[in-house]
Amino acid sequence: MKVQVSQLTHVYEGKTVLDDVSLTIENASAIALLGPSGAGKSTLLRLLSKIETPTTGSIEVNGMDVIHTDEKEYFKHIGFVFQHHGLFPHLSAFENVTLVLEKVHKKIKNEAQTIASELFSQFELCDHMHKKPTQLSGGQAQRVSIIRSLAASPDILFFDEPTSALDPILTKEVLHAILKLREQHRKFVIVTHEIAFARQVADVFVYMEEGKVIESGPIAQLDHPNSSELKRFLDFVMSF
Amino acid sequence: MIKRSRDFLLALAIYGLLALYIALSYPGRNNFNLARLWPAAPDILDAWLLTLYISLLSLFLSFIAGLILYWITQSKIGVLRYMGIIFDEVVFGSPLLVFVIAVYYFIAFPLGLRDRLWVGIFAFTLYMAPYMKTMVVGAMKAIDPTQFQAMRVLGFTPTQQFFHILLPQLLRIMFPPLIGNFSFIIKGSSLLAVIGVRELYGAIDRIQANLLLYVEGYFLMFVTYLLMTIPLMAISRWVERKIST
Repeated sequence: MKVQVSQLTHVYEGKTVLDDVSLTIENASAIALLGPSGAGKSTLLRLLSKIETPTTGSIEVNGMDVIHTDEKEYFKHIGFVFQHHGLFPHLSAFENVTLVLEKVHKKIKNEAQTIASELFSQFELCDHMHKKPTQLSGGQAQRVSIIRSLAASPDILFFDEPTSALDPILTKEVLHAILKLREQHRKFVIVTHEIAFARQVADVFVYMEEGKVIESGPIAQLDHPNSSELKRFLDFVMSF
Repeated sequence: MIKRSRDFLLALAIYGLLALYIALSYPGRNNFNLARLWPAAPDILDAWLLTLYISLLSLFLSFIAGLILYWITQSKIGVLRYMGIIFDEVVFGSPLLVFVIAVYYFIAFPLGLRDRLWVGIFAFTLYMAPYMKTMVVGAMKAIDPTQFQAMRVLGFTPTQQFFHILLPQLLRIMFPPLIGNFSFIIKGSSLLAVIGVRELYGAIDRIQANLLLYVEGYFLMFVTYLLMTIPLMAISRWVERKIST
C-alpha cells in the first residue's frame, strides 16, 4: 500500500483540524495512526477514505488521486469500519452482508450467500448470522461490520477506532478479528489507542498531535522514538 | 393482567353510568328513536365507506407529498428550500376548514376543477404534507448517522439507500405518528362537507334535515366516526407490538 499526502489542511467549523500535513508511506501492509484525542487521526483517515474532502492539499492512495477520483469508483477499492458498527437494524447480520453484494456488486443471490457464509465462518460468527444487530453484542456487531466491509474484497480497509465503544473483553474479540486480517495479508489503515495492539498488527505508524504529523516510520521505531512528543506520549500511555 | 381488565371494565362502567344519566335526564328522550334512521342506512353506509376511501387515499397521497416536501426542504437549491419552508408556514398557520375552502375557491375554481371529491382529497393532501414531512424529519433523525456514511461508502445508490435501507426503517419508526395522522385525516374529512362532498358528516347532516332527526343523527355521527377510529387505534397498537418484538 502506498499513501502520499501533500500539504493537507482541513478546516472544520472554523477550526483547523489538519495543518499542512505531508506524508509519504510506501510498501506498507498495515498503518497505525496514533496520537492523543483531537490530534486529527480520524480526520486524516476520513480524508484518505474520501468520506470527507480536504480544504486544501492532495492525497494519493495506491496511485489514485483521492480528491479527483469519482466517489463511486474510489469506494469500490476501499472498505470502512466505523467507531459505531453502522449495521442496518432491520436486516439480520447475514442480510447486512448479502444486501451489499447483491445490490451494489450485482452478485446473484447464491453467490452472495456463499461469500457471506464463508466470511461468517472465518470470523466464527455462524451462530449469530441470523440475528438482528440489536441481538448482537458490541463486539459481534463490530465483527459483522468488518465482514460487511470485507465482502467485496476491497484493496484497503480503513478502521476508525473500531474498539472505542467496547469494553475490554469485546475489544479483544474485535482486535482478534483484525489480527486475522493481518494474517490474511489484507492491507489496512487503523486509528487506535491500543499501542500494544498497534505494535502487533501494524508495520508502519504515524504519530500525530494537534493536527500535525510529528513522527512516522516502521513500527519498531516505537521502541526508540525520535521526537520528544512521541516519547512523552508513549511514556504516559505505558505508565498505566 | 386481571387487575388491568378489572380497571378497564370499571372505567367503562363509569362512562356507561354517565351516558345513562345523560340519556335519562335528556328532555327529548321520549322522542329519541334511532330506528327511524333505518331507511337512510344504505346512504349512511355509502358515506361511511366514502369517508374511509377519502381518508385512505389522502393518507397515501399526503405521505408521498410529505416525502417530496422533505426532499424539497432538504434541497441544496435555496429557492426550493424556501418554497418548502413558506408552504410549511402557510399550512401550519391555517385552520383545516379555512384551507379546504381556500383550495376550493382560490385554486380549484379558477383552474376549472369541479370534481368536489378530488378537490377535497387534493386539499387534504396539501394540508397534511407538512405534517407528514415533520414525521419524516423526526424518523430520519432517529436513524443512526453512521448508517448514512456506511451506505455511501458501501456504494449504494440514492435509490437503493432509500428503498432497501431507509424506507423499511422509516416505516417502522413512523408507524405510530402515521396512524395518528390517519386518525386526524378521518376526523378532518368531515370538513369536506363545506365544499359539498357527501362524506359521513355531510350525508348524515342532509339526512337529519330531511327526516328531522337531529339528535339521532348527531348520535349516529358520533358512533360511526368512533367505529372507524377506535379499531384503527387497536390495530395500530397491535402492529406496534408486532414491530417491536
